[in-house]
Amino acid sequence: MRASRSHDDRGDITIGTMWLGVVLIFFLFAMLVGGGFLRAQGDQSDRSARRAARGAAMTIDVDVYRSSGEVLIDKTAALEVAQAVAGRSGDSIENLYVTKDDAGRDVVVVEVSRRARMPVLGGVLPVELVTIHRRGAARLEPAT
Amino acid sequence: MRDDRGSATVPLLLLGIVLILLAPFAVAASDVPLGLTEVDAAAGGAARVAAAERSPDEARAAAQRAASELLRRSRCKEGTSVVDVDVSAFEGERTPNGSRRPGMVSVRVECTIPAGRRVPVPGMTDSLVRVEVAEAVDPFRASNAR
Repeated sequence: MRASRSHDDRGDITIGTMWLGVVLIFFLFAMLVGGGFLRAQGDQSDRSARRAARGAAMTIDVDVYRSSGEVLIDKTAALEVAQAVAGRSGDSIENLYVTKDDAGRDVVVVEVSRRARMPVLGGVLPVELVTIHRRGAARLEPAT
Repeated sequence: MRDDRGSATVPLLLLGIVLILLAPFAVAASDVPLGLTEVDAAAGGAARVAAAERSPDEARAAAQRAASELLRRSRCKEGTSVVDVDVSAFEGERTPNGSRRPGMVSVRVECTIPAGRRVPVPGMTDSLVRVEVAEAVDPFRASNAR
């Protein structure tokens, strides 16, 4: 035999589910807007890394190139330039190195990072918990 | 059981109303990050154009022109865009060990992204977006460019 339900309990689960749903919708909304900001800042870092790499690639030691044909960058100057360029956009240099691309050409690679702000719910809760890492590369092409 | 009929429909209806009320906020709020991306791209484009010029004056003028053109097609509210071009470090220098240190051009752009541009949202205020970028100036551009 089925036990009869108390009148007061009716609808308790559905009301609870409704509140859970409301909280979930607010959370999803906050993540959607915050995610948009994170993506925008990721794009900024991406462009900043490429600008920093282009700047670093301009510090080729011309005298060495003209005397030996070897393409070398002045690592100290390259780091200074990359930091100056990336720092203006709020990024920090994580790493800078020269490597070969798929076609065997010399490229300078710059890795940057930034602490991203994620304004949740219109800036009511500004959370800074995400570090964005991006990488940019530029070919080493000495002027002749 | 007859008493339970419709008990799930009411919360679902309320959830639907909350979702419908929040949707315009989501659409309107997405304009700010999209605007930020556009302003950053405009500043970067202007800085790159400026870095290809031969003199600081030409660089400043070119950056202003490029930024204005790029911002014209952006989400920025008309008349709120401010473009500041810094060419004080435009000329590069030679380092003691023989390499050339490139010069630098900086572009700072700020503008207002209007709230509720696509969907009017009561109580939502305009957002000020400010971006600054720098571009290195190729010390050999003059011999290559013209």
